[in-house]
Amino acid sequence: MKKGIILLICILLFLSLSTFSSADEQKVKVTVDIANMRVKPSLQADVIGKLPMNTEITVISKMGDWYQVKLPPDPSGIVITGYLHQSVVAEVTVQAAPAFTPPPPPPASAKKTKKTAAPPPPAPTRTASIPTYAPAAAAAVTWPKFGIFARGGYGGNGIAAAGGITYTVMKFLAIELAGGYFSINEEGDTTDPNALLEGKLTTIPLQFSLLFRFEMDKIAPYIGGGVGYYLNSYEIESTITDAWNALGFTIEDAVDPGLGYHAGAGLDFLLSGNLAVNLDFKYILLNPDGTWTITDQISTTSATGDLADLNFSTFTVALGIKFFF
Amino acid sequence: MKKNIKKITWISFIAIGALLIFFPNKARVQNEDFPFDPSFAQLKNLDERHPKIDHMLYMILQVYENSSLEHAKKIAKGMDVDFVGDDIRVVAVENRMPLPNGAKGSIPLTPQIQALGGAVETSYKDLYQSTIGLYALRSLSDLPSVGHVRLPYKPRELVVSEGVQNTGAGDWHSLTSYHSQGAKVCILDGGFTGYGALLGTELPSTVETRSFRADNNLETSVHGTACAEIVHDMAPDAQLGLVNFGTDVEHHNAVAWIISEGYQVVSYSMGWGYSLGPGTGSGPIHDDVEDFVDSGGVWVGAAGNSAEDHWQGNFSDPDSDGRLNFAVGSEWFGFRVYPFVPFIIWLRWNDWGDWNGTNFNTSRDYSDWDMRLYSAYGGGAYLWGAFGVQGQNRWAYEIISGWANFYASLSVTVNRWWDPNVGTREFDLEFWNCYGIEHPVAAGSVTLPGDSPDSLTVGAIDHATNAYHTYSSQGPTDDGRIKPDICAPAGVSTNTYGPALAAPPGLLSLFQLRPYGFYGTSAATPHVAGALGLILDKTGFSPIQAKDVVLNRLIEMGAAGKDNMFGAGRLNLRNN
Repeated sequence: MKKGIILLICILLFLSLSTFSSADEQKVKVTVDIANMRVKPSLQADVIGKLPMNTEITVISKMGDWYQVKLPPDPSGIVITGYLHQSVVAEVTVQAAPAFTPPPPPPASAKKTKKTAAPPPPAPTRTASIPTYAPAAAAAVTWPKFGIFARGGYGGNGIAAAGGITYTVMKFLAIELAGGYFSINEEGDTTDPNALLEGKLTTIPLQFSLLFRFEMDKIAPYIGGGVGYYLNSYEIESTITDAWNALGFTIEDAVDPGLGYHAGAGLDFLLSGNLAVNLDFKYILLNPDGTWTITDQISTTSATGDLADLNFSTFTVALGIKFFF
Repeated sequence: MKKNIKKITWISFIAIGALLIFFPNKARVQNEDFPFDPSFAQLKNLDERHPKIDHMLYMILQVYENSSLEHAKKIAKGMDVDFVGDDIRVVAVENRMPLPNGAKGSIPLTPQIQALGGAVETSYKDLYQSTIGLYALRSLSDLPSVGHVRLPYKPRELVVSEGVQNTGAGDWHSLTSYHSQGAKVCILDGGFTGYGALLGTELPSTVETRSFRADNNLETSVHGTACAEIVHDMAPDAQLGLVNFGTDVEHHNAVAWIISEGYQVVSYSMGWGYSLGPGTGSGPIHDDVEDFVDSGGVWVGAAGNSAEDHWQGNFSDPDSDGRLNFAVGSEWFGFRVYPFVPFIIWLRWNDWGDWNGTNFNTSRDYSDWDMRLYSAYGGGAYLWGAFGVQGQNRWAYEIISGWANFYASLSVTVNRWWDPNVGTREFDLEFWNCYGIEHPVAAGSVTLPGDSPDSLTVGAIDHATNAYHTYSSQGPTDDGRIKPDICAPAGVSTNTYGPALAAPPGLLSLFQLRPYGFYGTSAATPHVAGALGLILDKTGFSPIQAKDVVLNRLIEMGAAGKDNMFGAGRLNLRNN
């Protein structure tokens, strides 16, 4: 048991180091109907997996007639290594960066000639309990589908924050539901009777987004867009309201809640199997309706009107984390 | 003996002094120094009436026919009657006649006036303001298309004085404007002399101007300039319109234009005599007020300065001699006039009928009362009278006007010509440019169209003490409504009338021999109009809502509740 743990640690350490040397990896392809993957380079060793024909698998090293290979990580991130006999596989040419171009494999005919004399591997004995790996499982990293996130940054002209959930619906497509907060300081325009007075908009956006994600080994950039319902609140600069209040008037510029639209891009960077860093850019198109109201506290005379051409469109930039399940 | 001589001398001095004090003009009349142009007195048929020519105009026509054109023009000038060259300015009231072929419509009046050598200056509905030679006046009146011919009605500038009071408007000036659409305030007045020199300082840098006078002369008086100064002081960012007129016909056209230009507030420090309404808030000028208010605006009008120049009373004639008694034993109503200042006395009685938009011609008794002018307090020589014919289109009023060569004491009588219902008769007398009114009655002295229910009518109080200014006209109206609606400061400083100083005593104050401020309801009115302009300029309230804001911030004055001296209270824009 202790030996197994040490071996596992060694394997993980090896694999983690090898993660960053993928440029010169070598692959072999299964050439028989079923190839047994063994725990040791011995035909007597236990079979730990059965690989169907044409499965491509990464070679860790070559030991005599045996290839030490590794399987893609399972959903929990565990990478399994084992041994395939050279008689059941053929080497595959891998396009790699010029600096790391591996030496060309020996002529297949020569190897084949040599290998034909080798005894065929024995038939597996415990096939029922041994997993079978499909060719698709050969991707470098499988991103979890469901995650939660929290991020903060700059939006409008102040602090922006958001949190929510994300779910990968299918390849390249994910949805995101988010709630957040940002504020915008408005300079106001007293020359336009339908414009806002100087003040501050605070809004809580409830956003739904469709993201086109391009999941790679550890990085998943995305672009996307969506619609949001914005719970807006506007407060006129207090010095203005105080001056009017002193003369017996209540004034209010109200920005209605309403729909807004957004588009943007971002990037998830996987720190571990469950945790990723998220960087998110959005442009929010927000043109809500609004009303102004002035009330004379003495006579209760009140006037109201529509605010026109309100435009709170803005960028948000936020950095956060995502935790996947 | 010596002692007796001394005693007699003293008695003589005292007697002569008393005569000079109490009967100054009697002495002068007896001295052949008659204060009036004697032309009227020379006329043989002073009391002659013309069925279609108003009496004052008819008197001028008689001077022309019995003397000369120059003489008639001289008389007319003293009575503030206009001549354009040798033609007199009149208003021909059209009598819409059916066309000869029986078709509906009327025979156009303009070519008929032109055929008589006259010219139509401007018209409004059935009123044709024209200039025509006196030689053709009878021919004009004889036209079947002419109902009657009269002199144009003219407004009076209500300049008495001015005052300054802090209404709290200054607290508003620094406010951030709250969704205001801007404010447009029109000063509708007699003239705006000198306004150009005040642009950018006492007035906004730019103003809209328009003259509806026949001569297009905007600068005929400084009165409107001073009013505009006050509106600008109150509402510095409001857009101002300076519009003037000279006659009732021009007034109608001016108000129609003001409405078309979208003005929200009219500041109206003008007033009309009793020839334009019974004091119940109706009449042709009142229709202009109503039209403006119906357009969504607020008409701010002066209450008038007649509280001390007015008499009101019921019919009383104990000796049944046909002469009205103004007080017990008093059939001659005494007053005094200034030298070389045209004076006017209006008589009005309560037989006008209901106003139908064109005429007062329903439910009338068709009573006919006249007015006679005498040369002294309590009687004296009969000078001339007002003998208008009250009929279908001739309303229940009479006017006497004239001028004197020096200070004079006069009196008038009111005489019955015909009245089938004398027991219900009520009378109003108003004296313009007169003083020393013998029996002043402040009640009911509101000047037209301040009696209009559509007018926000303004009385005057002192800017420093908030005390009632005794000249400020009082209600009620003849139909029992309280007027004024509001009071505002008078006695403020303007560039036009000078700094607010204590008024000089006595007669000097009335002549304004030195500038000492702008008094009168003329000064009070633009404060209220300016306050409305200020609210409109600072808020998104409509003009009617701005009026509500003003009326709910008034500081109550005088008797509890609304009263006929102060209205509902004094103008205040603060939060108290």
